[in-house]
Amino acid sequence: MSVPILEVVDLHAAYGRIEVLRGVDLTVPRGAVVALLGPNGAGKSTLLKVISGQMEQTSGDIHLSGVHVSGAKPDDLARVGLTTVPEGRSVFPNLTVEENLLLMSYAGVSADKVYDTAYSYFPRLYERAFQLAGTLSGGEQQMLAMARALSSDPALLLLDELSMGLAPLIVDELYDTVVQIADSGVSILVVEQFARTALEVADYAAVMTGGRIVATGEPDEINEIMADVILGGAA
Amino acid sequence: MSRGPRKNEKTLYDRTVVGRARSVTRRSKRTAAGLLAFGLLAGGTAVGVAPAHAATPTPTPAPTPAAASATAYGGFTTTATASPLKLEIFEPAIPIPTDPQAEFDFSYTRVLGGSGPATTARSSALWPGAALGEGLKTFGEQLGLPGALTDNGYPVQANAGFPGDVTQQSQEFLPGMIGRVEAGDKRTTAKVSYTSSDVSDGDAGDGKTGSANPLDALTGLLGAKSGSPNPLGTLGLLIDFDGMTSVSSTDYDGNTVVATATSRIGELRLLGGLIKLDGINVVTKVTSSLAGGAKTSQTVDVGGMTVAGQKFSYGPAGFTALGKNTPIPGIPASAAALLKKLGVAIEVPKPEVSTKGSTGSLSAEAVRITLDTKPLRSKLPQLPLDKLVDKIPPLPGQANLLKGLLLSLNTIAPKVVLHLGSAQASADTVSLVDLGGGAGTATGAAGTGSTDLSSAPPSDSPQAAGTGTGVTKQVADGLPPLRSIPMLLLLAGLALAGGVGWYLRNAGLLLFGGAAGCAYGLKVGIPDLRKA
Repeated sequence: MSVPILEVVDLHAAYGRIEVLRGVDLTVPRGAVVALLGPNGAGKSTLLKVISGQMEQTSGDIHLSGVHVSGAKPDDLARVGLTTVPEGRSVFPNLTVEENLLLMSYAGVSADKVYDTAYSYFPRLYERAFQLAGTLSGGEQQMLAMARALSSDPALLLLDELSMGLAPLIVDELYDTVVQIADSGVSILVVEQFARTALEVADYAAVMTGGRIVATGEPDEINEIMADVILGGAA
Repeated sequence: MSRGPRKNEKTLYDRTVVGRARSVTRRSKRTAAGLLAFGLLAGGTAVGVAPAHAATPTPTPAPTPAAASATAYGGFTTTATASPLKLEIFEPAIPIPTDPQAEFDFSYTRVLGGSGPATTARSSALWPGAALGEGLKTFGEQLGLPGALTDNGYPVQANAGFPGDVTQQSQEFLPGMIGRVEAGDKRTTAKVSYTSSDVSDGDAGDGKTGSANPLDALTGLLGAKSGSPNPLGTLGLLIDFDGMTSVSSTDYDGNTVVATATSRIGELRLLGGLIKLDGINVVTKVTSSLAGGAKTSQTVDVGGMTVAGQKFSYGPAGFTALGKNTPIPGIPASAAALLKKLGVAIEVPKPEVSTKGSTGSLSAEAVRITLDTKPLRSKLPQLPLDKLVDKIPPLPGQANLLKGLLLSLNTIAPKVVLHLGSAQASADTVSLVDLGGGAGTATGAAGTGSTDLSSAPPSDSPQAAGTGTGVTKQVADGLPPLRSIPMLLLLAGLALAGGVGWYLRNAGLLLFGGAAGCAYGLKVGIPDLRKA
């Protein structure tokens, strides 16, 4: 068995005195898509923040490719291939699509390569290349955010609430792209509230509620028990 | 107007080159002053940390031969032990791991003296030997005796020590039998006598000590003769005596030490009066001083002996039987043969004298009588102990040892050795130890035992010459001088220790620090996820 690209062991994190993560154990195998499901407030986004270095854990261990990572900054992690697509897309609304993508060339990747990567995954962005990002639809903004992340050649992609505020058709389209990305060998941890589409593309799934991972398994298994788990956990 | 330089006007050269040179000179002066100040500071520090003798280069006058007070000793040891009647029992069957297996010193006194002065004195009506006397508690514990009996040690003894809490003690062991001990800064004595009046050292024959009238020393003996009890009780049939006195003492005055042991017996009766000895008086004395070395003197007197009614007198040639000049062991052949058949041997041991320089020891006793019960035991029929033991059922645990002891009864034939008038004395003095320090040698004040190193007078002062009894010690405390090899070694050692500490710390971090960051023993860092 190969070393997982991400392993979280007994992770605890808190906002002040409110503990949000209460001993999370999660593993993302190399090249796999893992769906992290759970209700709102379960601690999913907080977990991604801790993994990506935007927030410091109070205790517990994070191992990346068998190496203990402690106190790493987000930009350090981004340089080594850990890329995050945050919740809410976070595009620059007053810049055009091309200008948003051009910003990624400052990370050391040539502009042409950034454009090639973005437009190959999302042809629609090529059509909107000179349109202000703020005028794009929600799905297109999500595409732009994902394109921007992909331009940094990620090895582990953290997707936070990819489907938030998007029409189901657009969500399906985005997840098709996720499958393409996974096929290229990128490991993906996708956080979702809406399980259906995520479970369709995921290799493994985990259910999180109350700051803990309460169930893990194959997508089919999780699909069967998820309602009970979430409702039971909510109750 | 001329623009050339006037006499007092500074040219550009003056303002630059010369000024620069002056500035350099000023800087040099400041540097030199700074160095000088640093040197003074370092010197001051050196003075501060160096020992007193380094800070004061003026050497303290070394003691001249005359000033060294050839008679003042630096330290001494003395011992004096007296026991008018010493009984030793040799019997291997007795389960006591000493040789002899049992020892009893009647009217035992002992003093020990040492530099300081530090002295101890002990007197006991019946001293059971060091093994039992000192280790009674251990014996009690091993034998399972109640702690109340043995916890306080051997009870029949009086002790004193100087310096100490108890410098004087007396104990009436038995009615009329008094032991006194006294330890002081000039003299320490231990006495046991059968009299309420005090007794003194005997005359060792050197004309310096002892009573003017030898009979005075026996006053107590004579006075106590009628009413003195025998500590042996019913065993008095075997050994009985009247009037025993022993005195052990040591004197020390800074120049000379004296150890004196005196043993006296008024009358001794053995085997129900078969052998009688009277008027035993043994005094041993050792005097030691650096000037005169060790001198020994002794007095061994035995008033007379009666064996089976035959009277003997004691003279320079030994015992003389009724005008027949036959020395002991030249007891008349028939009598000697008779005693031998009974297992009795009477010896007149010669004093053992040893002197070497200021070290001297002297051991003397008046008569040594050996009672070997083996000849008598062979005349007795063997008890059928083996048959008796066979009939005893098996005993639990260590009680089975009793069977072995019972069987050994048939083989018991103890040899009893009586030492009459045993007295040993030894004395030794040593000179001041000169450690080469010159300054700082000091002599402890007599009588106090203290050694004031800082305020001690030079050894040529009358006070030190006359009364010093302490041990000389060089004042060598503090750090060695800065520019000495010891200081360099010290600094090198500190530097080495620092280096080793630094290395060990880093080695420890390398060994344990990496793994300490992760409880799972993984490497710590940020891996390149694209290549990993």
